[in-house]
Amino acid sequence: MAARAPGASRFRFRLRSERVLSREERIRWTIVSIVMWAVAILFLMPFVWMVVSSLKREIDVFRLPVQWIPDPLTWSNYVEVWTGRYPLTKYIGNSLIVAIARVVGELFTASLAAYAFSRLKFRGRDIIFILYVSTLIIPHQMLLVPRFILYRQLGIYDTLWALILPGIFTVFGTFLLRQFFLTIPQDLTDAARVDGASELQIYWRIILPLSKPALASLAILAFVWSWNDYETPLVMLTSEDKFTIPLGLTRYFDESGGFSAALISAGAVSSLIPIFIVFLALQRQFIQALTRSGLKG
Amino acid sequence: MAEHSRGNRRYTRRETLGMAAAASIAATGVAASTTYAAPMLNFRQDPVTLEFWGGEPEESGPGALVEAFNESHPDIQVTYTRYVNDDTGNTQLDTALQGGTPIDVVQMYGNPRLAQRIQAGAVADLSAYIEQEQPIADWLADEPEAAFGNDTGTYAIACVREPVVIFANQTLLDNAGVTVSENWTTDDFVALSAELSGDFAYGAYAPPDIARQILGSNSWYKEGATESNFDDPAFRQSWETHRTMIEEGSSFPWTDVLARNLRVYQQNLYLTEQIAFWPTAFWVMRYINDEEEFPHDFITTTLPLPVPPDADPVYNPGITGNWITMNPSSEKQDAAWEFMKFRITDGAQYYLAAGKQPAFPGTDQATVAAGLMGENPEERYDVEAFERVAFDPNVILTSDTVLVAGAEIQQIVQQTTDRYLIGEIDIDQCVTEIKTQADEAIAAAGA
Amino acid sequence: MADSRAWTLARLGNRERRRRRRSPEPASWIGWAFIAPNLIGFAVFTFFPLVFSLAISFAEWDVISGLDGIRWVGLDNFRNLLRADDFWSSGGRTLIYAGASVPLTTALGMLVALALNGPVPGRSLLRLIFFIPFIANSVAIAATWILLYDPRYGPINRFLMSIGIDDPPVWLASSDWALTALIIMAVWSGAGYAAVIYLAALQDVPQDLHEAAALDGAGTFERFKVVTFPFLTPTSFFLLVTGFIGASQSFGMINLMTQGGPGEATTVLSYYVYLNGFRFYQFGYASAVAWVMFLVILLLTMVLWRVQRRGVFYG
Repeated sequence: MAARAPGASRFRFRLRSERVLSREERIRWTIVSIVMWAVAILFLMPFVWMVVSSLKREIDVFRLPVQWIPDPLTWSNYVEVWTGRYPLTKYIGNSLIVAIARVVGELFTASLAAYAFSRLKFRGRDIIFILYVSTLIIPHQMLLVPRFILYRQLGIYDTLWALILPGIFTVFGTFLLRQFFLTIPQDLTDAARVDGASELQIYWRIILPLSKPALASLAILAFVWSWNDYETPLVMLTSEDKFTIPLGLTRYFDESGGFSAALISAGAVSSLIPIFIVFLALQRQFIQALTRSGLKG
Repeated sequence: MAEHSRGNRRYTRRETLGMAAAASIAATGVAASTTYAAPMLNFRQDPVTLEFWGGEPEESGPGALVEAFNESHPDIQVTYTRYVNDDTGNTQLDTALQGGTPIDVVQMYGNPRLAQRIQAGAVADLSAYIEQEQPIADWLADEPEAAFGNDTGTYAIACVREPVVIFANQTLLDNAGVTVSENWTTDDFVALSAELSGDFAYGAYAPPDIARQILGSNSWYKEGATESNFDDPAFRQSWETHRTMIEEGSSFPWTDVLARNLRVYQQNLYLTEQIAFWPTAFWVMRYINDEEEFPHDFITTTLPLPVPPDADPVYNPGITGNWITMNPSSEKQDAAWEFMKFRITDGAQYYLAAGKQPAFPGTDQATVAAGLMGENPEERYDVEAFERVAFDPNVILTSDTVLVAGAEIQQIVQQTTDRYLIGEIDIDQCVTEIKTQADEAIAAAGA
Repeated sequence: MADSRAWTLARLGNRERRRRRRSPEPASWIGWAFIAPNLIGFAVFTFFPLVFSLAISFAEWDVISGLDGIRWVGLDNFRNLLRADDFWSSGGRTLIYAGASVPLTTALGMLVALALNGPVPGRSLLRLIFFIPFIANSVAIAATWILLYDPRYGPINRFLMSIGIDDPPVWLASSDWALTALIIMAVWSGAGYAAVIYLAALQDVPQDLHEAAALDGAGTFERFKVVTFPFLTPTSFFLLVTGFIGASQSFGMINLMTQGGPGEATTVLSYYVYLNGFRFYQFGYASAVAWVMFLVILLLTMVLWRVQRRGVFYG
């Protein structure tokens, strides 16, 4: 238990990030910062390795001990990846189309369903929800073959729809958003209902704006998953011009299982750029000073 | 729809028609020579399009092959689709085949999968076509292992022959004062590897597959394929030799192989001069020839495999493979067969740069050698040694035709020998476990 | 925990009082209407394939024979898997793998999120960095960790040897340590993902409660326990459930790094399913295993559901 009232006068209460810190707190946060940055180096390693490998000759990529500075510096991998026979720009384009379509679609359907599961009562709601969530358990490889048969019947085999459509109707997004929506106080919605707002209005005007961080995190996760998905495109697409990035990168594998690590690294680094952009853009949701004085009691 | 009817049957209606057509064409006196000109099918107006699926990247051969064929056959146009030859990629191929995707010709790798597909009826019987092609029929009569089939027919033809040889780093050999005689034995190999091992290099990546050298094809199974053959002392000898070499430091440590996932990257070890003897096959020559990505400054000499003493006959663990097959639900089987013939005979030269020696004996040695070794071969190879070993007519290749529970046994052998080679279990345990589990797998497959 | 809950509830007391004015409940069909888009799509793209895969678990099928090649064998697959030693050992390994990595990942994610929610310089960049394992190409991640775990040149063993451990484990090449090595990797890659989700949840923690608690003299840890933590419990539930599910399914890294080995040391159920389905062409058996996994995890989820009804705090 910390000391009582005498310390209180030192605090001026504003939003947390703007609060003036006590000396004790400043020391604590300095230590935390140092630790975080030290650990961050470990987290940066795969990225650094990718960048470094993309600038090496193939024979140097796996030399031990690791050369962290490529010698000689080889730019040819990037030249090959961007202007060679496999069109990286097309793959990035396809990946973007699929990812954006999926994210927009998923945000829409999942938030609607999550709203229902968290704030509306109807018969069987909880049972359906449990069944819903339980379907996450089946390894998705088991669904590859049945889905293949289904998509052929639907005529979407070897089209980008085969990648987009299943991604729009996910259980995961519904689950995530439901948990977030549950933390929004009931009295807000109750008050609005009493005032005569329709559910759709409550959903649109109240819940969604309050859930920006949750929506942003779902968007990021869904985007990344779509971006890195390898197995579904592999089974569902055969035309090279529809390939997404992970599939495009397999062009650098040969038939015996070996692959050009340097080329693939160059391709992978190149394909990370859109993700960084998306992440940094959606980041702002977390940093924005949220003025909530009226809403949170 | 006809495409879904499968099962064991001698010939589909389509195939019968195909045979009839082939017979009638032959009857009109078109010679079956090794160069195939267009006129055979000029009763068609629009070009027939064929879908050809294979595992190689386009630039490793298929691209040039398809271009050459399309040029010389204006009435048959082929398009190539590349599938990734891993588990998921093969599933893509399997689902595409059974789902009715229009595929006419498929290049497949690995006998277990091929056998599985034959059993499922996903591969067409080529016997009738082969009979019509004298050169191919003769060749297959001479070399039965170049065709894959059973009593119900012949389903696949090999495009590549891949004997196992030993590539050796000449500089390392010279530095250690090691010379290798033509008929060296396994004991010589072990001894010389020890001499070649030093601070940063190991004599060998691994010994060759001694068990297979002694036992030949279908070495995993006893007669009748109801029991596995792992109690044969040849296996024990093979594994023990490997582990002894590792323990003595003359063969690359298996812990490193597993920890660094080196099974797929052996070329890195060889080209960075960490191993002297490298038992491998010609397809790795694409790495040796790639001066830009894999620069190295030593000459590679080619050695025949060391012979296990008392073994007679001695087999080469290499195989004929890279099977070319036809989809039984293809509607253009004649055209498909035209293309397949081309792939096997004249078309094989386009794959030379990827290190694939043609299985069909039509191409002359000089072309093959030049194609495999690339330009300015003396800079990288002992040319004379290579030609001597590569074209050695006395090499007996193996071909596994019995494949009961093949994939399962492969997994069992690999898993257990891995543990043995890193020293976690001893040889008795290794042999017993493999034998027991393999027997179980065979029994389960027969059920 | 009891008195802190009471404390929080008391603080929220005025909200409870306001709630007593009952509002009109929306009609039942509205709920269904909201779910409809998601549910219909789900039914088509997930549910029917699921039913198919359940049906196949009662058959023998190698996929390439097409639909005509399905041979119905009743409960044989289930009988066989219960008898198969490697099913049980894979299952055990999965429990160890998930049981260790999921709580650790969630806890680490929470710590990281708390740290990055405070006044740390460059924290938006840091958030991106901690998220990198999640977005990086799996080949790059596999290669990086193979380097880290290298028995001779890897930094981990070099460090261990420098502090006097002469015979450090060979990690990926050791039956004893390979699974642990993968667990460490899983925690590393999952922490960033968990942190992102926790960070979003942290934005919802009401500031005034914090201030009130500080006024009452609560220290940082008390404040966390009493104010922040309850608001994180729905997210924690979510992360534990999806984490456990994800860990049981995780297969890509195993395939890239150890291929289930050495021996069977890293053959967890998902890899076992994959091997049987995609390499041994035993699709029916693989489906049966997957559905047994389903039952087990379903039970676990229901247990967690019970716990969350008591322990999770919803505003």
